[in-house]
Amino acid sequence: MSIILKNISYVYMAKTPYEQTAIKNINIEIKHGEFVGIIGHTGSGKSTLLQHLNGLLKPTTGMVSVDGQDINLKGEAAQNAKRSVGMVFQYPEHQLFEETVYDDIAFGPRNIGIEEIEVDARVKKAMNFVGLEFDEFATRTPFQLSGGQMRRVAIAGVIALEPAYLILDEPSAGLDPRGRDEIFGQIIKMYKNTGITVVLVSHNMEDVARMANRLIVMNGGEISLDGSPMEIFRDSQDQLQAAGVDVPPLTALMNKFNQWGLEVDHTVVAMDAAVDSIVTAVRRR
Amino acid sequence: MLADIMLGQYFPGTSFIHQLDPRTKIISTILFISSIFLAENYQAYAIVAIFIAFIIALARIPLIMILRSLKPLWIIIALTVLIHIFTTPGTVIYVLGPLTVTQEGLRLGLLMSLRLVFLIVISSLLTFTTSPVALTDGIERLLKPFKKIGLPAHELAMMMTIALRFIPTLLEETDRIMKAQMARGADFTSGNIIRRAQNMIPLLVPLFVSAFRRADELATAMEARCYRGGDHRTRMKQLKITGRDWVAYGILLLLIGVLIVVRISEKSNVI
Repeated sequence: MSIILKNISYVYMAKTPYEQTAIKNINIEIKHGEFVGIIGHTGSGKSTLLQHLNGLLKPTTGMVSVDGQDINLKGEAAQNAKRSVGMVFQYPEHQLFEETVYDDIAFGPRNIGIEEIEVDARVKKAMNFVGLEFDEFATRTPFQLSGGQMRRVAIAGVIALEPAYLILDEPSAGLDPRGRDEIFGQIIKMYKNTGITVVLVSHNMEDVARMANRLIVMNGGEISLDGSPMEIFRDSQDQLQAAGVDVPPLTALMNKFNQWGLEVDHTVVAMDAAVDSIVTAVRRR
Repeated sequence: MLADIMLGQYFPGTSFIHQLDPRTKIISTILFISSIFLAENYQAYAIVAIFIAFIIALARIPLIMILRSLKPLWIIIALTVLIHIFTTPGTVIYVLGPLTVTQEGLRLGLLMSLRLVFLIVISSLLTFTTSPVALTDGIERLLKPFKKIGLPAHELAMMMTIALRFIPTLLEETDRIMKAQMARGADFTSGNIIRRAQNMIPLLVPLFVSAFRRADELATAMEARCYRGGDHRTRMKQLKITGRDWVAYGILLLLIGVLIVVRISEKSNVI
């Protein structure tokens, strides 16, 4: 059970002066149950890569398979494989269109031919996941909600399709810190409760480092690093810098401590662990 | 998928044609289009075709781009040919049920479709070689004399600039919303025409919402920077007619002269 990308390359506007290779020779496998963070500078090919995961873009060369099925073939099986990959775009609230929150979330499930009773159950479940009270929000119009609430409605619209893989492109962009923490909190909760596979794109290293158990760093359309956040922060800070992404502030601080001769563990990503490590190091002195 | 649309796309370059003043190019295009209607026989068409080939070569636009600009209109071209072939009276050369093909029809169909092709190619050459900003600048200057009779030349040009500026943005937005809805199982390609129109709602509603939002934001941003219409505005790039432009006018007048001569000599031959 995994999404496999084999030798994927994609060229935008081929054969015009605007031709541009967005990604080249990508080989990755996203296994079931992983929480993958993809980070990279603007224009590093993150979004292009994402759109290959559920067949919205067809690779110029290479093959994408979801659970063993090539999704760029025609037919029912490929269609179903695509549907098991749910995609939340950047600024997903821009896609809302229905008169009520309920109908907008039900749009996806109704499209794939799910019965109304089941649709109802799924909408309730999805709203619960993103922390929207059903009784309060179901009949309201999505256009009068706050930015954070609109985004949650949009994310619920994808979750209601019950995908096995959930892909999120910058889900916190443009939200205030509180809205961001809420969205991320709900994503983590869902990941822990349902065992869904999550692929999260962000350029905020701190967010990704805190949540993901695997990190993919993209640079210039290629994968420059792939591993656990800890390994990457520990071993590959030069490549990180080359890719134009910063290490999280916490890691930067711990590195500084080490440079100053205070031996702390610079691989920690959580605040508590960092505090412990500093306290022990200071006591040891 | 929508990124492939070639409508009015600027193709940056430094050729003779690119460097012409936009006013020269707009006036020349209008003159040229009218002069196409002077051409009535094969010789005149050949002259026009050679002239267009000369301009394409001069502008260094790849032929593939030119052909692509014809693509959205090939149905209209094909229809023109068919209608002329089957409806022109004259010497019958082939009968197909109720339809008759005449010699004159074949000739007229060919010439008419060629005329269409010329029109499209020359106007896409204008947009290929002139950046949208230069184009609207040129239009604004050309419309300036009409200001006296109350035509808001600057405002019209500004609206055009903004509209042109937002075509790619809206296309991108359309593309993104389409993909987002497709990822939720929406279907934009199958079903009959009513069904398809209904299926467009999930695309059109968000698109309108975002277009209004953008318009609102842009208006605020312009006002915040003290924009207040056309009076007393100066520009960074002043348009200037140079020797190059006179050369272009000269060549064009030569072409028109030749076409007139061809037409008159043909008339006198007939008589």
